[in-house]
Amino acid sequence: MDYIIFILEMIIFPGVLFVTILSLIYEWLDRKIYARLQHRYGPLYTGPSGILQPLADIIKLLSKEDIEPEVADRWIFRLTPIALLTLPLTASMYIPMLELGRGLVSFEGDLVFVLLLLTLYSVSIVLAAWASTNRFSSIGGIRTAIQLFSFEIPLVISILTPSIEAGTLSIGGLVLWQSRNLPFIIMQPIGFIVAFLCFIGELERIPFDIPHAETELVAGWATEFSGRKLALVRLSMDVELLVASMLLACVYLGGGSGPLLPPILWLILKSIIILALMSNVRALLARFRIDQAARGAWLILTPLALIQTLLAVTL
Amino acid sequence: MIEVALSIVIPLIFASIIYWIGGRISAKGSASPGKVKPYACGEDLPGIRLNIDVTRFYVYLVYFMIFDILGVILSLALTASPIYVALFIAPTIAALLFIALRIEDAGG
Repeated sequence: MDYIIFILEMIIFPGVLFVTILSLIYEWLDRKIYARLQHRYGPLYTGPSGILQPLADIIKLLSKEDIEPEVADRWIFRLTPIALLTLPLTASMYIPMLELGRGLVSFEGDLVFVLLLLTLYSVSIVLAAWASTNRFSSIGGIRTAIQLFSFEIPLVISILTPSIEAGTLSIGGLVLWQSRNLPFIIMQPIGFIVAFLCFIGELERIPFDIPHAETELVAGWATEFSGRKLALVRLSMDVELLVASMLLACVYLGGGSGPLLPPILWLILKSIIILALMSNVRALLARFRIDQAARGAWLILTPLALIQTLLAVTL
Repeated sequence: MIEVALSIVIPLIFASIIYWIGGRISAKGSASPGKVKPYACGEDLPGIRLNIDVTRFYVYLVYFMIFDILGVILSLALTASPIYVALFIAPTIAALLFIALRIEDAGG
């Protein structure tokens, strides 16, 4: 009986279906904020204030014809969209939503596991680009790899620095520690800024959307994907955005800890704040060149993350 | 352990179901010349695979590995004395400065 309830939780709430629907709402929020900052209305007609627009986009893509280029590596080309959606959905299970101390699944060290899943996401993108056998995809894939190697280091260091202070490697442990003490954004502000910028780089959002720069690379690594495969890719980007903002909220803003409201509402509130910050950055800045992004990550963000670690252990 | 396995298998099944539904409801177009060629903005170009300059890429990869290991070792230094951690970080910051100077010398 326990197992049936557990599996139902994984499928419905707070598992796969809930996370998918919430991620579509996050995409709507992101598009709406971005549009308002540019004096546009954004999605308007589908549902109240256009809230159903992301879902309508997915359904439209699912009903489109699925074209595979004849030179593509068939099996990798078919399997990578499924892998791309699976990885962030798996990561979302480890984020403490209902209780403070543990996610749906959790073990000591799940923070490292979630970081690994986010890295595998970028590796899958490189594989997808390789299997597409297209000029634009290939260049996009190489850029994704360079961006992964650049932003991975500062991201890992700045996400793991709070765990040195709290003495635990589990996300739930970090949230519990912050509910007893101050949130880490007050104690380690440099680390928060570094992690925030690195997540923008890992999510390939403006100003670091170099791997699928529309004006130069058509759609970058996703050029050859169409129909249901593109639907899965788009959905996976939404879920990854949700997982990244929730992970950042858990590690630096105290996750679900807060007065009066239940943990899940606090978590959603805090991750929406991070999402709004990301939308603001997206509307504010223009795209960097790939060498500027790599140089900035290695020569500015990595030393900053290391200095933050040094400050955290010595003070 | 079975929970970790379930946390991977259930999203996998979910993604496969969406993929399968897409296969059922998608439009079935008819074949036309050039439809399954790799996209190249209307030009007639053959497809290419990723080509990476391996010698330069390896140098990059070695740096990446050193720093990635640094991150994990730092996170495992939960109970170590701050002095050891500082001793560990100082050479890596020096190495970073060295890379920075070398890049400036090479002119980008």
